[in-house]
Amino acid sequence: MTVENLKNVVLNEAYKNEDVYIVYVDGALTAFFDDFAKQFPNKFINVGIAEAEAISIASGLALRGKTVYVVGLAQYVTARAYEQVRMDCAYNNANVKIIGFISGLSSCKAGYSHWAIEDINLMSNLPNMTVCCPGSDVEFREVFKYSLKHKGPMYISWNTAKCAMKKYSVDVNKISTIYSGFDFALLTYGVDVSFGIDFCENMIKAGLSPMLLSVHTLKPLDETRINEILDMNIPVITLEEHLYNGSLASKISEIIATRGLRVPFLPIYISDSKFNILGSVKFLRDKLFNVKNIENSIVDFVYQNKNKNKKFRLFYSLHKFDKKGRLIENFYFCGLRLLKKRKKINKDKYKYYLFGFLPIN
Amino acid sequence: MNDEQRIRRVKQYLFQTAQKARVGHIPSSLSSVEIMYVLYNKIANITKNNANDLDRNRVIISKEHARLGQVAVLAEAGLIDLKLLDKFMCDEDSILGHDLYGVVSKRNIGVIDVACGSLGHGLPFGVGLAWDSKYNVYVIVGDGELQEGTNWESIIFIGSKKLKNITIIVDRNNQQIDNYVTNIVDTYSNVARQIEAFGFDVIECDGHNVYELEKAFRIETSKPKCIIANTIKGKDCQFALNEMGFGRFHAAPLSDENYQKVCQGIEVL
Repeated sequence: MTVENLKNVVLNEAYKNEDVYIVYVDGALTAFFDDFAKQFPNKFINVGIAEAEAISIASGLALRGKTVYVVGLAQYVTARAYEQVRMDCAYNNANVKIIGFISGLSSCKAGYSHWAIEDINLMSNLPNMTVCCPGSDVEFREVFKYSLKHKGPMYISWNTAKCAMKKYSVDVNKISTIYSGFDFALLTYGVDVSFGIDFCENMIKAGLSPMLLSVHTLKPLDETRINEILDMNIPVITLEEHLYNGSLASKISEIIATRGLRVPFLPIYISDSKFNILGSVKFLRDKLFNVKNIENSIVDFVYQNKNKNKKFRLFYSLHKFDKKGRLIENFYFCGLRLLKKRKKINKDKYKYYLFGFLPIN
Repeated sequence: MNDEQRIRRVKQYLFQTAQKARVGHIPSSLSSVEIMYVLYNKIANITKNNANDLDRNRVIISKEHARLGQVAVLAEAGLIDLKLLDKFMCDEDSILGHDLYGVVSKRNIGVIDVACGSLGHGLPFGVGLAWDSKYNVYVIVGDGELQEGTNWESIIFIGSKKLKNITIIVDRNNQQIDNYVTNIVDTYSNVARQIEAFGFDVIECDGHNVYELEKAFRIETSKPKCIIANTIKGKDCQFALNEMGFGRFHAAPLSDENYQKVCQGIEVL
């Protein structure tokens, strides 16, 4: 989802609908609201650097029957203004839609003060609150349309960094299926949707049949669909740029535990012990998660829990490193022949090793 | 070396670091370089030896976007290792961002007191450091930052408790990320009178003049002191504002062309 898309989607509605107001917290997006602010100076409020005030103002407007969108940095409109969100929006059931942009680790170099890695947990805890985290263009559009009709507080975590442009059908109250395979199920949301699509495409090339699900609505959670997936008894993996508490992983663990299932389950989340580093998103994703390398650990996990009735073949992982020995990219494929066909590969730059065995469908 | 030459060197470090790490926030840093220079070199009496002491004066940069300027000033003054600048906001061993990580004193940067990654935290934090202490606390806040309510809660508190060992320095440059402060919520025009009304002695001075700043710091006042330092955001790279627009000017790194231009500008000074 680019900033341009937000402008088109949000502003088109704001122009059409008399009752839509925008309360904006200062944060490098004013230029996009300029035309709107000139045309409707009363419908666009820039409160400056004051998140708590923004939420309360929005709640006041909402109690007058307006639909109010608060736009601000995800971390600040949730964690910083938490009491205001709790008292003014949630318990009042005020019609305030909070759009928090730059969620997850996207504001990488700015440091942990800017990362929004607890927002889903904080917002899910509140009564009346609907929590959405769209990861692609279509999802954002659908979620936004829903937010206009829905009465009550809503938090939309929105990311400018990575947005999947793949087209698939989206229903806000249901989990979207992007790939419907049967070897393993990957549940994810937000920035990781585009990661999931790339990863699953690689897996399909490698001969696997992955299932990719985008859980864009985290509260209320589509438990029917989750139960269906758990009943398939295939390895289930969750992936999210969020701490464990209150995450999708914790919610699915709860379902597995209460139902007493024996489903192979791999939750991938940000472990909450090592906040003494910063750097690019790629670097942080390698260091901060509870697994060392996301792709490799998923493949490993699927292999360990493989279906024993199936045949398997050799599976390779090819890694490219930079001068300092840091991982730049990696590919997956089966059989050594493929490797030999790639003439351009410089052996010094790449390392490949046998990864395991994967099923032939 | 005189002050002018030393500040020129600070700015060289600042630009080199920013260019190496490809990070922005240069204009915010340039706006308060002289204030931080005066504080660390002439006023606060922080040395390498007492850096990790509990009992010493404190300097808090509450406007966290000036972190780059702060490390440049500290490196020039010899309070942190020059090599640390190479690690500014980079992968692997990076330790310096908007906020600082882990136990700072273990990383040879004990001189940096508080990690303020989020606006409006430094001043209340400073009140805690100054309360029931004979040491002085200096807090630099931005004029845009004053839109956060917590600052005013502290200003009311300091005024009513007559806390005299905390000094507020307002870096008054009339710019925040999106526009001029006056165009958004005006915490620029009347800030001196507003703070004065809460029981402060307010001194206004040129925030880029080392002599004036030092004088302002040394003046004895009967009430808690607030220094309004009038500054220019991005003093040596203002020409980039039109080209980059407000948001990018605030947060994005300079283009190579502009960097060359800035380097020439500093040497001419």
